[in-house]
Formats: sequence, structure tokens, C-alpha cells
Amino acid sequence: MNWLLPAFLGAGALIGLPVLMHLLRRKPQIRIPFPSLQFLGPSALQETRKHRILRWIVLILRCLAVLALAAGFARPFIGEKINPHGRGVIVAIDNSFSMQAAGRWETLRQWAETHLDSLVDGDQAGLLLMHPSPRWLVKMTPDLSAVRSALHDAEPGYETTRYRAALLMAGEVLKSLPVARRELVWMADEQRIGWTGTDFSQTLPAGVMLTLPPEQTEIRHQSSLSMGRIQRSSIELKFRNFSNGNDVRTLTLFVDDQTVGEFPVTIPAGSSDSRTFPIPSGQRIRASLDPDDLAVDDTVYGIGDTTHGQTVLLAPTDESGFLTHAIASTQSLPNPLRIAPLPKGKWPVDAVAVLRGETAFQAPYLAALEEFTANGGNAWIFVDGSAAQRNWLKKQGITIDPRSEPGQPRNWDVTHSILTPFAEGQALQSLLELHFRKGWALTGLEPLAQWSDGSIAAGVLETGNSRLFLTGFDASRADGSFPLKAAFVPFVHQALIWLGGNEQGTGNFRVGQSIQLPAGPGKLSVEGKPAIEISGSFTPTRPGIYQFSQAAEVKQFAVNVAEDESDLAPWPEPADFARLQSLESAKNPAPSSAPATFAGTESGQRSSLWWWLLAAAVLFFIAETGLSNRTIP
Amino acid sequence: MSVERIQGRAVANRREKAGVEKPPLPSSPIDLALLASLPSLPLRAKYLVEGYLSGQHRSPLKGHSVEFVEYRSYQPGDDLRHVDWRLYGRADRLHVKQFEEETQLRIFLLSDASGSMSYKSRPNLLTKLDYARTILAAVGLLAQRQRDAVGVARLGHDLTGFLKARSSLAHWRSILATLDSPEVGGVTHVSQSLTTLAELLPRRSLLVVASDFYEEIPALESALHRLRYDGHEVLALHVLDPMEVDFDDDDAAGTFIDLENGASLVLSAAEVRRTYLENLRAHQALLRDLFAGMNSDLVALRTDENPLTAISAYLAQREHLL
Repeated sequence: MNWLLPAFLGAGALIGLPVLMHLLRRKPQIRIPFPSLQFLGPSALQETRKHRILRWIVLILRCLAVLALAAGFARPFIGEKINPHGRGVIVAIDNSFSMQAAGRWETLRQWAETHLDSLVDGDQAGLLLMHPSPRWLVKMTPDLSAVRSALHDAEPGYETTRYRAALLMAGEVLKSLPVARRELVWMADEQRIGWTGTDFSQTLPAGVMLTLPPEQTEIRHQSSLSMGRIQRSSIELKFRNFSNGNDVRTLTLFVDDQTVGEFPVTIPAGSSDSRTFPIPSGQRIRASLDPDDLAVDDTVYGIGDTTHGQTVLLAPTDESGFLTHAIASTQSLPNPLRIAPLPKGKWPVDAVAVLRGETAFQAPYLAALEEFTANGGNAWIFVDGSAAQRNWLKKQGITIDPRSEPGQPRNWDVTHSILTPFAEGQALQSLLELHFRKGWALTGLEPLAQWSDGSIAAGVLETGNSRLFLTGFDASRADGSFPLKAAFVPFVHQALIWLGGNEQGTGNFRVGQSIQLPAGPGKLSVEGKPAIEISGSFTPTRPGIYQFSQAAEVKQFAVNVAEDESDLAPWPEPADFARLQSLESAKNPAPSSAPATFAGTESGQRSSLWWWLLAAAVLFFIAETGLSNRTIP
Repeated sequence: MSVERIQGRAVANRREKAGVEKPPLPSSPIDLALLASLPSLPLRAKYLVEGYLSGQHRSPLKGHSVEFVEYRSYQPGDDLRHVDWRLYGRADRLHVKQFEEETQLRIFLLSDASGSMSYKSRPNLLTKLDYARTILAAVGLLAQRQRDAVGVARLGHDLTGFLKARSSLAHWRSILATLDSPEVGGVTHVSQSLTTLAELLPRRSLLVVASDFYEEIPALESALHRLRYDGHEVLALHVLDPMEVDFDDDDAAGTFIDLENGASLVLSAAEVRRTYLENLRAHQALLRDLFAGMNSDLVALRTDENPLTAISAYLAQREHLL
């Protein structure tokens, strides 16, 4: 515990006053003659002892009150004692894959090591990895050799650069360090993409010095390769050249680890291009350019399309325009959807049924629906409250109630696979803007969205192998603006993909992105790494083809590095970095005579301990008053 | 129900059992403040007695003081009211009835002169000793008027100021002087003094003892047995100050000084009140049982209450003896 105004602790000496008062207190001056004390003997002695104890308690309370007052005014706070000569250094390490550019990592690491080398015994240092989210490689420690060793062994990863979170975290940690000098050593390549979203007007805490790396040498040859659309017999690859001159490269294509061809590629300077290459049928696709100064983005992975797309069974309905068009528009997207009419006989289980109106819940479709769901078929049901639909849903444990007023679905569960693509930015906003003139409140489902009264607007029910997705709103123009919103087609597409169980099968995942695995445990393997037992989800840390095996079933995930990380262009306004520095720190960058006590001062000012002490003092005084009134003077 | 009332009822029950006519209760209130302000013991006693008598419809003294003995020839000047007219009718000669005073009752007024009796809790009250003196003097005055022989003694560390029982006016003055003696203090041994007194008393006397009875019960019981054995009657006047009875002065906090032995205790009345009252009640119950066992009256008196109760008790006792 430290004290903001320790001089007030001297007032604690006033404790001597009550002690003195107690010792020198006047013996009771009131003499009361009384005929006989024979009836007072034992009880009076008890009372005398009790009074003696009471007087001691009163003395203790007085002392405590004085001490609490003194301590309260001295403004205590919890924190370590400030070392007036100590230094605290955090090396924030940009472990994104751009740091793998030729010579960049070594240069910056040596630069950071020079800062660690300047530390002496008593100083503290720590290593903070920036990506995918800030985390300690080595927590703040006075063991400087361990920090140096860890930095020496550190390697860049495959993440995407984001500086803001690490900057804030490092600033907060440094602020609370009980040292005189706090330094943030910024071991990063200052990519423009990394600083995007940083509020330069939000300065680092006072006393924290930001040390930026020397300007990086220009990378001469840098082009990136990314995956485009994969079709059964061809693959689209995208190229981007970040250099000033044309980049002539050789592309090698692999399908199921077999080389299928080498192709010369010329990428124009400073521009993007895409080409389609023929490939034989297969699943694991890899394309590599011969390496340039940043090799990690010269290889991409993909999962071949061995299917003919997801079949969607559409129930006959009077209104079908928007939904049909939305499904048809996915033909040009990965995981295309194909429309088929709802058969009156047996429904194929691998298809997804979209059920609107009550036709599908009546003969002759009803028996097929029962068999379809019993065999693991998946369906999207647009709730409309028809009697046949209501009865069938009731048998599934789902009840529906009409809503009396228009509403907007909210509380969208963006962690669900259907809504994952909507988790960021404008996409989510488009969902939040949905407005329906009428709707249905659902019960008995896992909610994906709720009406304003908390009832379920959309939800899923997974029973056995079957998935049911219910929306308490329709895709008709008459009921709302849903078909006109930008979210409509992605929503329909994603929901049907999820229902078909193909939402991730050929996905082009990024490093650091959470990937949902099929239910149940299985073994996950990636090239060059031993297989591990896993279930639920995983977050890949490097690109490659990940293979998840469950009994005889195998599912593969293609993971690539983020495309935008390949742009090594630095932040265009280096002057912005100076704005991050607190003016206070800038005026007094290295206080030597006067120890920097900002951390302690701020902690002290924030601490409410003094308030509690003053409150305790008041309580002690009240208790003292109450007890002293019960004692004989 | 107060202790005093319980005791009063016990006294009344005993009177009824003994076939004693219940003395009429005084109707005239006694002004205690006036009583306390009277300058001398004789005045206070007289005020008390007159106050008592003025409240009676019939004199309790009537017909008790003299008894017919013989006739003698009428002499000029004799009161014609004493002429026996029936005998004149039979003998045709005037004869006058000769009366003789009844057997004199010996009453001993015994006051506790210990230090504890000097206590009074409020300025406008009498000390317990003055209160006791006044009652004893009033009783003595009544007795003197009834031609009873009155004696006196002070019960202190030992028996002092003992005067034999006589009925002369001069003796009465001596009794008043003895009662009014300022000697007070020290530890009381009432039982020891009573035992000493038993050696000095003629048989069959009425002892009126005014004390606070801060005594060891067994010793007191022994002394009372001795007195009863000698045929004496004992009327105990248990005089207490209201503070002793109620102990209700919550402001009384400090060093309590024992008026008899000088012992001191630091305490607060409010905090020891409950225990004190329990102890006092137990002591009073023991005293009550003791005197009831001896077939004697114990009259509880508070110095802030009418003392005529004591005089009534005395008269009841006297009638019982006569």
C-alpha cells in the first residue's frame, strides 16, 4: 500500500492524545454516599470490570478513529512502491506475416534488443504479441535475461496487423508500473493497414514514452496471390503486384498434392489481375508463385468443388419472386444453390427444403415432410400461422403466436454460423434495419434474433440429424422490406448453406478466423503438424489445408493468409505518431531528479480507499460516543 | 403490588387472627415537608400525634386507662360523675368509685444509630434517622399520654443511651433528649445491641425498633428469639429511603460510598439497578419471614411516605398486648 500524501500520517501521532486522556483521566469526582453497598457487591464489581473494558474499548475506538482520519487524509492506495530510478519497457511485437518480409524481422528484433540491453537490474520488461489479439509472450518481469531470450526465439506469425488494441493495452500496463520511466518499444513495420482505425488523438497515458522503429527499407519485389472462385474444372487465382515494376513469376498448381502444371505469370506494376487455370477433379488445391521478398502470401490453398451445388426444394407458394431470385443469384458465388420443386413423393435428404405457406404441411406433402425430417433432412420454415403449419410445428414442440404490432428483429446472434458473415460493419447494420409489418413470436427454439419484447423472431431447432430454421417473418414484400435489403441474398444464401451442412466445406478461411467443426469430437490435422483430438471449433494460426476426421467422414478447410496484409505500405503520415505521445510525457521525457510518480498518483487519485477510511473514522466516533456515554466519567 | 402493601396486608391479617380491633386509619394527611421543617423532635412528634388523633372519630384511648378498685365515702369536692348512684339507692349513702390505673405497659423505643441511618436522597426529605426518631417520639408521646412507661436506647455498634421505662414527665424529656442525640455513625450491630438490651429489660415489654436492618439475618434471628423467650413483643419499623427502595436515579453514577464502613465502588445506578433490586427484595423477604416467624410485625416505611402507618401498627400491637 502506498500513500499519496504520506505527511498526513504524522497526524497519527495524535493517537497519543486519547491514550494520554485515558491514563490521566480524572478519577470519578462524583461521590455518592449510600447507606449500604451490601446489595451492590458482586454486580457492582462486574459493572466495574465491565466499565473498565468499556473504557478500553472507548480508548481503542478513539485511537482507531484518529488513525483512520490520519490514514484517510494521507490518501492510501494499493500499488507497489515506485522505484525512482527504475525503467519499465514493453516490447510490442508485430507478429503479422508482413514481418516475414525479407530481413524485416531480424532488423526490428535487433533494434528492440538494443533497448532491452540498456536495461539494468531492477528494471522490468515484457514482450507483448500484437496478434491476433494482444497477449503476453513474457509478462512484465525483472528477469531481463528471460525477456531477451524469448525475444530472440520469437518468430513472426501469419496474422493480420492491427495495432490499436496492443497500443492501448501496453499503455495501460505501463501506466500502472511503479517505475520512473515507462517505455513502449514498438517493434512493428508500421503498415498502413495496421494503423487503420487508430485514433491518434487518443494519447498514451502520461509518462509513457513511445519508441518507434527506424524507417524500414523498401521491399522491392512484393506480389500476392489469393484464391478466387473454384469450380469443378477450373480455378480462379487473383494476383496483386505491390512493386513499382512488372512482376514476372511462375505459378505452380497442385491438386491433391500432385503438380498439374506450371504457368508463367506477369503481374503489372501496382495493379491486380486474375486468371483462371484448368484443373483436374480433386479436393486439395494449392497454388504457389515462386517466392518474392514476402513468400508467405505467394501460396494459396482451396478445396475443390466436387459437388453440383446445394439443392433447395421450394414449396409451391403464391408469392415466390424474391426468394427464388435470391437463390438463383448464388450461382456465381462459392457454394451455389440450385432450385428444385418440392416433390410430391420422397424428398432427397441431402436437399434443403424451404417451406412457405401451408401446402407443404398438407397431404400429399405431409408424409414426405415427416419422412424427410425423420431421416435427417433440413428445412427452412417461414412461419405464417396457417393451421396445418401450426399443428405440425406444435408436434415438434414449437409454438407460434401472432404479434399485434410491427417490429424489428434485434439481438442477432452473430456467433451462429448463419450470421457470422454479418458480424462486422454494414452487413450487421442491414440486418438491424429490417422492419416487418407483421410477425410471429416463436417458442421452443434456440434464438437467433428476438423481437423487441424478447420473444424469438428467428431460431433453430436441431433434433437428431435434422435442422429446422424458423423465421417469424416472411420474405415477401407485403410483410416488410426484407427482400429489398442488402442483407437479403447473403442471409438466404448463408442460411441455406448452413442447413445443407456445407457452410464451411469449401470455405476460404483466414488465419485467426474461428472455424466451427461438425458436432462431436474428431482429429484435426494440417500438413507438417501432428493430428490432435478436437471438438467444437478451432482457430488456425497458419495457412494450409486442415483436415477434420470423424470416423469415415472427413471434412477439409482451406486456410489462407489475409489478402490485405500483403500491402506493406507504411502509414502515410508519420507525424501522427507524435500525436500519440502525451504532451506531458513529451515535455518531460526522462525525469531523473524528480521521480515520475504518475502511476502512483493516478492510482491514488482513483482509489476510494481514503473515502472508506474517513467513513470508518466517522463510524468509530459514533461508536465511541455511544459507548462513552455508557461509561462513568 | 409494593412491598409495603404486602407487609401492611400481613399485619392486618395478623390483627384479625388475634381478635384485635383494627385501629381507625388516619384521615388527615401529614405534610412531610412541614414535618421535616419542624425544628425539634418534640414538635415533630407532637405534630405527628396530633395529626393522627385529629383524624380519629373516636379516641382509641377511651376506657382503657383506668379500672374500678373499691368504693369510698363521698367527700365534698368529689366529682359527682364518680358517685355510684345504684349503691346510693340500695345503701342510701353516697359512695364514690375508686379507680386504679391499669398495669403499666413498658415500651422501649429503639433507634438504629448507625451511619446508614443518616442517609437521605433528596434535600426535602428527612434522613432515615430523623424519620425514625420522629416516629419513635410520636409513639413515645402516645404512650406517655396513656401513662405507659417509656424507655429508650440507641442501637449502634453496641447498645447506648439506655433509659429504663418510666411514665413521668421528667423522664419523657430525658427520652426525647436521648432520641434527639446527634450521635450517629459506624457499623451497626442491631442484633448484638438487642441481645445486650435483653439483659436489661424487665419481662414483657414492647420494643419498637426503627432500623434499616442491614443485618445478618441469622444473628438478628438469634437476638429476636432471645427477646421472644423473655416475653417481649417486637414492632419493627423498617425505615428506608426511596432511593434505597427504588434505586431509580439513573444519573447516579460515580463512586458510591458505604455510609457504614466507608467502602467505595465505582458504578452507575442505572446499570446495577436490576441486580440491586433483586438483592434488596430477597433481603426484605428474609426479614419479612423472620418477623412473621416470630409473630412480630415488620412495618416497611419510606421516608417519602406518611409515617402514620407506623403509629397505627403500634396501637394495634399495644391493644393486642393489653
